[in-house]
Amino acid sequence: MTHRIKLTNVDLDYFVYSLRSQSLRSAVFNLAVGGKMYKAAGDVAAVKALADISLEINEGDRIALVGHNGSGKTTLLKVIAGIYHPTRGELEIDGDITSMIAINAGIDLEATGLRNIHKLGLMRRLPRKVIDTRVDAIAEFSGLGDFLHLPVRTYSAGMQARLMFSVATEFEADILVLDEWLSAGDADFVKKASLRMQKMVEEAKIVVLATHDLELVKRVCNRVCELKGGRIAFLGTTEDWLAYREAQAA
Amino acid sequence: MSSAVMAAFKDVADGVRLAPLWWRLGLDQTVSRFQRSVLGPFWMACNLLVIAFALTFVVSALMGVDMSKSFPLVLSGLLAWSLVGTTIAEAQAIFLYNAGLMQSQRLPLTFYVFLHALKAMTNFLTQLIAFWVVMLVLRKFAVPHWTLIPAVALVLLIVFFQGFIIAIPSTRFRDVAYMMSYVVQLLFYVTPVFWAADNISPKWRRIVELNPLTHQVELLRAPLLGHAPNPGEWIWVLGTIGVLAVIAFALLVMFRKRVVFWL
Repeated sequence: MTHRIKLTNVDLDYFVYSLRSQSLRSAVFNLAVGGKMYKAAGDVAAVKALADISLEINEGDRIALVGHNGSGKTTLLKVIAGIYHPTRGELEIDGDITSMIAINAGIDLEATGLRNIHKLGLMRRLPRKVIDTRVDAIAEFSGLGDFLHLPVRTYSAGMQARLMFSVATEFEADILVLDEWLSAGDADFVKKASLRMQKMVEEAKIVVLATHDLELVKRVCNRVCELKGGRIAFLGTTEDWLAYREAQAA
Repeated sequence: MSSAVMAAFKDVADGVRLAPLWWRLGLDQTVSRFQRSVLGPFWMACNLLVIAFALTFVVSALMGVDMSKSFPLVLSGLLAWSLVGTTIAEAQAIFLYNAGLMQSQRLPLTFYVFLHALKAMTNFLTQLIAFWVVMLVLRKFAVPHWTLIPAVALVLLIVFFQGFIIAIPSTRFRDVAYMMSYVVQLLFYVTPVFWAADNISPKWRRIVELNPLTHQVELLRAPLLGHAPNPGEWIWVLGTIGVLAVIAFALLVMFRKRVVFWL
């Protein structure tokens, strides 16, 4: 099977709900006055987060999503990961997506580290046997040792990050959707982690990566998609993008 | 419009296809919940028992019925209510509880509703064991009628469809979430859970008969006490499933894309 992602004229309206609009009372009241005030008050703001995005990502592509904060990188990542559904337009995906957008998603603070390893493995739809064979490797990589028998709520932020990162990167992925380069733990671990991440990126069929890190783009990606105000400002190879940047800066 | 209908169908189909995942995840959650407190299932059973004793005492004193006769009725009623009523209150949190997961992983909405129904089932089964133990100790044990199995299955279908109908508005309007616990409390009193419909005047009885929850409780209670439910109860429950399924599906078609933005 060849892996592919194709977006055709995708729009995404992001609805922001204020505290007031989440109240039933104001909704009922506004229904009584014909719903006009509801909109006029601006309680539900529709932000056009993505507009007219057409993008085809083929097998072997390592594509970087770049742009300023708020330009729609994460939103586009979430659309590709299937978390947000496009308001208009088409999205076709061939292949299994592994998304690492929020690294601590799906963690159960009350359960022990080991149980969390199992749970996160389950969420990746892996057979129990496969998880069992990998638990030791994950435990070793995390370097958490006996702490794995304690509930995760007793962990420091760095320890949690170590656990999550170790699980997330243990299992290979077809299509890898990443928000920023995942950094985790102390200096030693960061070094170990970036090597492991590198390997995972190399093995994936398609990588979509949102980042601000120019060096990372140069090192890892063959294509770049620059977003500006929710629209594609540039789409092309990394070399072309570097030239485009030069031209823009000049 | 038709593409929204197709997408809703796909959501349900994907939810069904993910059965191994929510099945294992649900059981995992139950196991870890019980591991944390050694007496976990015991506390649930205790809760059921204490309330059953208290209500039996009050009802017997008020209505002058024999305590030993009303106790099995109240206990089985409460057990049925844990599936019929308590799940209404729990349904408001279906999406809110899983907000983190919903914002970082692609899973159909149906998945979370199945997880909720599975949790309701495991809760019910634990309490069912407690129920049988108590009935044995009190020498009131009746061999359950075989209709218990289809009855539980049908009520679980209601729990499933109801899940969508409560969870979707509760996610949009946070007031609904708070409201549900009061609504359930109210429903508890107007449904013959700890009192028998036979003991009230025919006029009121007709009104009680119009409450769909009455029939769900009765459908579960009859086989628990060892006899088959009235044929009428099956029709009521099947009708309820049909109506709820239509509403649930309509909500899914209309709001499937939006729910994630409401979290």
